[in-house]
Amino acid sequence: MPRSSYRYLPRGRRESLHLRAGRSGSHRDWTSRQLVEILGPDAATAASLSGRRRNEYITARAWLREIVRGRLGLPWHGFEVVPRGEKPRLRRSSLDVSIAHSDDHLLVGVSAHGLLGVDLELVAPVFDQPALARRACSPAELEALSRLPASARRERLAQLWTIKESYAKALGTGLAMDFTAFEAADLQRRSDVRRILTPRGRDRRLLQAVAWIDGV
Amino acid sequence: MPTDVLPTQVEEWLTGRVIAYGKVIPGSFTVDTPLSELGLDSVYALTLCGDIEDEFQLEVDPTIVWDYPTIRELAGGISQLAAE
Repeated sequence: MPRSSYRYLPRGRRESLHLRAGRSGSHRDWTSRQLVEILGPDAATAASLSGRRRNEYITARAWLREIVRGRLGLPWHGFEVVPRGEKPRLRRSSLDVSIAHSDDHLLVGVSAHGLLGVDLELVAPVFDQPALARRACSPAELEALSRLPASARRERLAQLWTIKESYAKALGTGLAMDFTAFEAADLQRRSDVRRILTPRGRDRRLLQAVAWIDGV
Repeated sequence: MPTDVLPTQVEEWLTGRVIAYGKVIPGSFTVDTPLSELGLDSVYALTLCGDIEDEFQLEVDPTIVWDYPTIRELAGGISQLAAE
């Protein structure tokens, strides 16, 4: 077990939403047998990674395995191999999963019904960048952002981004989605959206969002 | 539009942008360090893509950082696109 704090966030209907947040902790050595057990056919991807990135990659997937096997009591067959940028997909399973990390902070989720997307971001100077604001905000959001005091803009843009990114990740569209075409505050009112959660952890610099939507 | 933009100039500019985003500190990476190893994920990819568009008047997709995973490769790609 990686040393980490973790908790399950509020569960949804029929307890079909399961999340775990925490830190990936110090690097650990994984045996090749463990890698195959956790990742299945995707073990080859881990072999191409190194250092911290590798530790986060494997830890996040080990956490998903613990939820599926330990909490849901379902069999585990690892991950399909998917092209970079595509949503991770469990092998021989109808469960939907999502993974987010920033530095060693991780957030993972499993949905038994519907699609799930999770995102987390550390509030950082990148959220001061006009190039990002113009591409992440609708015209109304951009206008509202410009009216905020400079000190509050960074966190507000990080919030908007995290919510929109979680929605894009639930749909599996990732960076192909035009974030200027919709507003974060409107998502909860969309008919396909079951719930948007924005849980705050103990670390105030860390923003998290969970989008749970109807399956296609 | 800058027609003759040298890859080394683009490398310097990209290095400056990456440092401005506040995730990595100067001197902790080279032009050959994979951007993904620096923890530069989708939010950074979109920001960088926006900055590239603004600076070079190029239309690029955020996935450009996967096609050109290091600053050196990205600079080469940008120079080539700018020259077209």
